[in-house]
Amino acid sequence: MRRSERVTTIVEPRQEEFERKRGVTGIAVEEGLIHVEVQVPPDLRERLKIFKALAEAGISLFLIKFHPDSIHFLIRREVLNKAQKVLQGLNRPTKVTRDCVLISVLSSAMRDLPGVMARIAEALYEQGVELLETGDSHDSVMILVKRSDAEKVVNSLRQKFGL
Amino acid sequence: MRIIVQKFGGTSVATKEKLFIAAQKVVRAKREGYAPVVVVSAPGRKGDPYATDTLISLAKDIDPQVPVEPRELDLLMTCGEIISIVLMAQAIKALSGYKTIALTGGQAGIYTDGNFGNARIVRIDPTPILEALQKDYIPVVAGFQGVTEHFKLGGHGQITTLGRGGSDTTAGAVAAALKAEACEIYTDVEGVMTADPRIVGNKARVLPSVTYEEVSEMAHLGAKVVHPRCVEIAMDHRIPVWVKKPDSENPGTVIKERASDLPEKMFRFTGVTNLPYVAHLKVHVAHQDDLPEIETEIYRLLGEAGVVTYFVGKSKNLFEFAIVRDNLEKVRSLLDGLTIPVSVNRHSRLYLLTMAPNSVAHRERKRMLSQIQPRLEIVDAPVEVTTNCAIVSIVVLNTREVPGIMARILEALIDANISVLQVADAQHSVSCLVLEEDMVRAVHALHDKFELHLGVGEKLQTL
Repeated sequence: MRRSERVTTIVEPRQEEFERKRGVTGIAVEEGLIHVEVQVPPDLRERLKIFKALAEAGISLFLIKFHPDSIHFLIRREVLNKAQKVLQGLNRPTKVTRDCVLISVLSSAMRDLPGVMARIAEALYEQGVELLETGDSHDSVMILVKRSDAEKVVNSLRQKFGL
Repeated sequence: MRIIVQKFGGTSVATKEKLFIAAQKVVRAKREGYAPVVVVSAPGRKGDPYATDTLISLAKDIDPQVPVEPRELDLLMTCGEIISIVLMAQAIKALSGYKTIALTGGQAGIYTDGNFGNARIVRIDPTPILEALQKDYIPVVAGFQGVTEHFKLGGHGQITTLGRGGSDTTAGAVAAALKAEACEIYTDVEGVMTADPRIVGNKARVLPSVTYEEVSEMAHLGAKVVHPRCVEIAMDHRIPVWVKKPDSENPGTVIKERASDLPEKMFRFTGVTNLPYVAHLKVHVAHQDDLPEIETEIYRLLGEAGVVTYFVGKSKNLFEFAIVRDNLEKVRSLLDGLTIPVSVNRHSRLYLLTMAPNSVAHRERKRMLSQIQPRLEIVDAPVEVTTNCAIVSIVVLNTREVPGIMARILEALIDANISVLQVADAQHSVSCLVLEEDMVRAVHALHDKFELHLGVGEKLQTL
């Protein structure tokens, strides 16, 4: 399964039988990501100004999250300079965390699978790793950690999910 | 032999008239030189005499206090499809004189694991269907069911049902096992549409072609067109899927490309979906350092209770998630009044979760805990619940490559005066959590903003 050219699949979901196996079947990682936090009040019009400015500069964002007093998102390393210029122009306090790794726990039917988030939270807690951000979709739960933590998190997740 | 699998849903077999409309599609395929294999669902919709839910209630009504064994429930639930295969086989025969043979899932060679109520297909033996085709029969296969391989009682495998999306899954799986030329899913709409036509009316357009991933994303996010399990099997076995309406001559939608085979620079604004009946919860934790321990414990409890969380996220002093609203009472009973002891950096605290911080019950609980644990700091952890939420999503092929999607979404929703509680993005979608009362307006706003009514969803674009 190729999720993206930038993503490395650590544990490839195997298709041994006719229908895909249920449960967690793989882990993928994406490196070279920058986590950006921009302080902005919850007013959507204020938040729109930031998204619009970044869009006009042609910068793609992902793992976007709304927080009570800020918005968080990921950008790729290659657009960091351009993004920083845009954000400086907006005059909002900004925190940038470089060298982040997005780890995705994969399943073909995450919405039918209770307890995945529990085991991920356990793995992070046991390793004492700071979770920078989380996200989820129907086929993955994503966690963002610092690069220095990535290896132990992946190992812990492999153990938790028997991969 | 040019095999084609044609699946008809419950409404297509609900009345004699509709049965003949469906049968005509089969007869036409046969006359065009195909070897059709038909898959059918139980007749009718929810509440109709032989619909699955009606059959279940027959057994449960005997005595609601006595649970029905899953094995027995599966036996009962497969009856609707068995009625359908006999009726469909009869209709085809009456219409054309062609030879037909009605087959249960087991008779058709569909083998599953023993997970009653939600079985997974482990193997299909194509021999029974192929033999029928070679003898010029039109096989009519019961959807939603299979049989276990392990012989236990009476020398037979146990009858199982496939769970959600069952008949679509049967169709996709049978098509894959037979290496069919195509799998046709006949449904109530003309094909995969840019939005639910019951919401946006005739602004909704039929998409001539979408990738497996796009239609899977749409289905997971609320579009009721073809079940993602069917799409997944078809994608893995490279079977083209057509979505069509039985009483229409329009070609419908074809699903035959994998997004992962297309260049990442290609994208498409595919459609807008909506998923109502969602509740959003925020757990406030006074001390940031204590949050991971509380979060871990709550996710553990939710997981054990079988509750799936969506839109997971955390900030400095809170973490949040959404749940299907049907689970809210279960979650309320788990979390309201729950105590979680936390020991971090030599501090020990007892967190008391509450969904009603000003209630008498909460104050009383806190007073009692203070008496029992006089040396422990007891800290409130208010759980903020927004009961009536909905998820509105724009499905975009290769979302992450396209700048400006969030800006356009917010522009549309601000113009429509709609608040956004949270956002989530995936490889092929961006979703917004909104209040349920805003859901319909949000679908309209996004459908208009992304110009899906003008046919934007019908073509791939390049960055």
